[in-house]
Amino acid sequence: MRPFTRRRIVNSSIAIVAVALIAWWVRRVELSLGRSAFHSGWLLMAAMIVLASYSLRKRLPTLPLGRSAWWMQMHIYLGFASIAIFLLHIQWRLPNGILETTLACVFAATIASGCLGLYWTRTLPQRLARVGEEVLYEEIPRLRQLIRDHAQSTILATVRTSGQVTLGEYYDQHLSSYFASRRSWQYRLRPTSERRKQLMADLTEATRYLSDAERKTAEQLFSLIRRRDDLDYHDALQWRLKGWLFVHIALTFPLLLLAAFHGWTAHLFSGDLLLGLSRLDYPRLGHLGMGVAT
Amino acid sequence: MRGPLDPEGSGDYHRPNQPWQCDAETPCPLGPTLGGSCSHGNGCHPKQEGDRWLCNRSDMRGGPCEEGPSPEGECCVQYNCTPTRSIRSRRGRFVVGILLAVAGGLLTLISSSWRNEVLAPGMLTRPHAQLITTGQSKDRCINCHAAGNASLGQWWAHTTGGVALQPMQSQLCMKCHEQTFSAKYALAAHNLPVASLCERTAEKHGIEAIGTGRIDSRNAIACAACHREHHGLDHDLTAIDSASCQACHVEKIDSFTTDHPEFTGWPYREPTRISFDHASHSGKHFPKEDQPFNCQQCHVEDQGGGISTLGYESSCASCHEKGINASLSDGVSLVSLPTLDAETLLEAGAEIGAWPEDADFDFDGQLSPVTRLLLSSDERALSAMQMLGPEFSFFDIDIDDPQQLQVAGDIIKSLKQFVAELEEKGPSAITTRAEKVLGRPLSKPEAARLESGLSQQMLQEYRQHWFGQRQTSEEASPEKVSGTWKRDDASFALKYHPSGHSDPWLQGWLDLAAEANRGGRSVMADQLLKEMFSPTSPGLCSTCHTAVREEDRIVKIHWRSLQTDSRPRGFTHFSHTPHLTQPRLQDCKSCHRVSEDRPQGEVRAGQLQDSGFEPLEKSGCASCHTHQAAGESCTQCHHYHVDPIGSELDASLLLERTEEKLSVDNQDRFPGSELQR
Repeated sequence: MRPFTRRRIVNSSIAIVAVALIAWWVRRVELSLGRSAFHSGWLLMAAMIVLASYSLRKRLPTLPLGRSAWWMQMHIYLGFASIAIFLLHIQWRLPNGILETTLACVFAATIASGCLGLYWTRTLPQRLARVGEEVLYEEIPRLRQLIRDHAQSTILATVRTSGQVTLGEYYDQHLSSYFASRRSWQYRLRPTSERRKQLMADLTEATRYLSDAERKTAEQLFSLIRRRDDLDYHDALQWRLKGWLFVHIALTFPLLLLAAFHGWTAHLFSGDLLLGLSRLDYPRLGHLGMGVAT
Repeated sequence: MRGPLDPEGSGDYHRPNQPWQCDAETPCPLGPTLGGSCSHGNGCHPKQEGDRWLCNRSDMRGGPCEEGPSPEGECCVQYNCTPTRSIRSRRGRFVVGILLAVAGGLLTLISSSWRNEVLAPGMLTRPHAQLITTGQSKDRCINCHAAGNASLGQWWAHTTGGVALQPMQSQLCMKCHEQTFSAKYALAAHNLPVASLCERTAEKHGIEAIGTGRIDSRNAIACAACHREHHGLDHDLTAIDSASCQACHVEKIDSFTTDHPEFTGWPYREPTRISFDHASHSGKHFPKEDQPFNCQQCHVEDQGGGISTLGYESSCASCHEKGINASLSDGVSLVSLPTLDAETLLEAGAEIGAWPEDADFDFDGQLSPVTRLLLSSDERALSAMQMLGPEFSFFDIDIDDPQQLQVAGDIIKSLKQFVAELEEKGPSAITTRAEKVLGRPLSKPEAARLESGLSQQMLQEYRQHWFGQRQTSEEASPEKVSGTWKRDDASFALKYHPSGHSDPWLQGWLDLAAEANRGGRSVMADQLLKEMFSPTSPGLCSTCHTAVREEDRIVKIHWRSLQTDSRPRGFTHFSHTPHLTQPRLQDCKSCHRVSEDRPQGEVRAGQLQDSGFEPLEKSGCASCHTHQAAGESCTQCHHYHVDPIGSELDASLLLERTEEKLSVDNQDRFPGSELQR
């Protein structure tokens, strides 16, 4: 068995067993006339704090807080377990209060963004690796400029040396905008090679009208079109890898705040901040004229 | 394999963890400052050789530039940019911005008037929703939550442990449900006193099992422990998992068929209010009268799904009327005079004044039980009667004992005073004394029952006949009748002749004595009951009517059979209606089989201990009541909320309830009156 597969099985098993134990405990509390929602709520809150602390761990690399890879594994499996705890907390009912619904939506969005991020971080690097060259996201604008300069200088050199302007005109009409502008949002969301194929097909079509010298330059243009397209592909996929964190982290801290507020008000309205964890006994009711008369 | 896009690279290492980035096409090696301004670096630091400045830029950064340094020794490459925030920094600012917006939103929310509307976790159940609909959300919430009306400051004070939010939620529940539960036992397990519950548990299981479950049932159990609100309009507030019962109950019951104990006499275990031995009636009395024994003659299905018992007139009168009337033929004395030797009393120093000649010859006779009870309102007479004993007869007076003669004289004087009061005040004298005996005012219906048409004229005639100027013309009829009251000259008594079964006067006095049996005059009250509520007493009441006893004293008499619609909630409930849809069960005998080998029911403590039926067997129910068929949840047959009286746990609770009720009634009728019990 591959270590990766074994790790998944072990971690999944631990998460499943933990959830099963929590479900058993919640059931036991419920059958003991306790308010399991308080128990599962606090547990969920603790889980969310641990999940959010991964961000803190990444900011403090010098402290001996364990390997980041271990934290990542815990973050993933605790995240999945928190879905089950959340379902136990809401007792498999759709919340219908304004605050509760908002909180549930924020939780669902955080979980969804986390799952999407997990999927992307597991699949996009492989797709990027297949492209070939590794490119830093921050370097992409400079490299775009480099390709554009390279294409322009090649064309100018060809025009200068051969005196032919066919390729120059073709470049001006069909390719300069491609090299000069950024790709659309549509491409970022769904990157395809259609435009590259279209441009290369057009250029192939145009080569019949080119001189030998221009054809050699056209070959270089083919390469630059492909490279620019690869760069755009990197840009699109790496933007996703950067962008989902905007959503995930931006939701995490408001979620913690809303959850803390929800817990606080739930305890306030249930009668007592501490008694929510017990069976809501009111031993003090005795002197208020209520209680257990013997 | 293609080569890299930029083989030489930019020569700069990007640091995405830094908050600022250089936005220049060719970033400088220094990068922006932490404050986000350009560091305005140079391409090199020119080196002076003689009078010339030489570029010393390394090959890694592009090598010496073409222009070279200026004559003043400044590098020709001057980096200049407008730094931009890194992605990480932008993300951080975005997160903080969102967080501040949410925090601001929450602060705005909890300070606003529609705070509760937003915090409400969902719809109330229909029964609550239709009642709590008026006004703003804030006003709706305060019906059940103290926090709903609290300010943000109070919330904070409560959170930091200083101030509790009052009232508690269960108290707010009781504001509306005070008619359903006694506040005293509202949070007690099964709404019963813990002591009674312990007693019952010990009796049933032979162990002190209470409090050994998952929770300690001796503690308070809040309403919200079982009744969870805000789960929508159609949520069933009363639904509870059978397993929840085992939070307290240690005996594990997974299946009715296999785990539930046998019924052990239910529903015949408890003595019925009317002693009716089905076995003897079915096997002996009805055949003797050549009558068929049909259940429907006495029992009908009522609207509540129970089986009610028809009244005396429909069910019993045809056979029992004659016997009851015969027992009442002699009447019951309200007041009677004993015979005594007035001279002996006078010699002993007991001056009793005038005494009827006809009753002045020797010590004999008893005071009527009603008279004894009423005389007990007079402390002197009470102590005198207690000295002679509750059953005393003047025949037993020892004429050689001066003390006994003195005491007898006291009783006679008190009796004469009572008779004088009757003449002077009329029937209200009876009520006044009865109120003293009970220590509480009597209601008008109660007083009317004790007087039952007794006229002042009748009382005046009685006194004047025996103590006043005797008119010979009045001697014509020794049996002067005023309604159902008669003067019986043979026994020197004023007698009441009950009208038959359910006579209010007789019931009134028996009820009064039962109530007085718990007070300071219990000796005389108990004696009255012994004499007037025995199988041979007038009316034969105790033959059929059972009583609640406390320390072997009757404290309440059941005059009516228990009707299902007025039955207090017990632990077990059963509705006949859904069962009677099955043809097999429409025959009562399919479940209720009369004992044939036990012709006479066991009588203990003056009460029939069972109704003459064979015990019900669990198997009769278990054939249908399975998880897959009719269901087997605990709450199908058992109530959690139990009326202390319905639980048959503690007769004192019944009295407590009566006291409470009377106290309320009396406060309504006699504002400010203080009961002296």
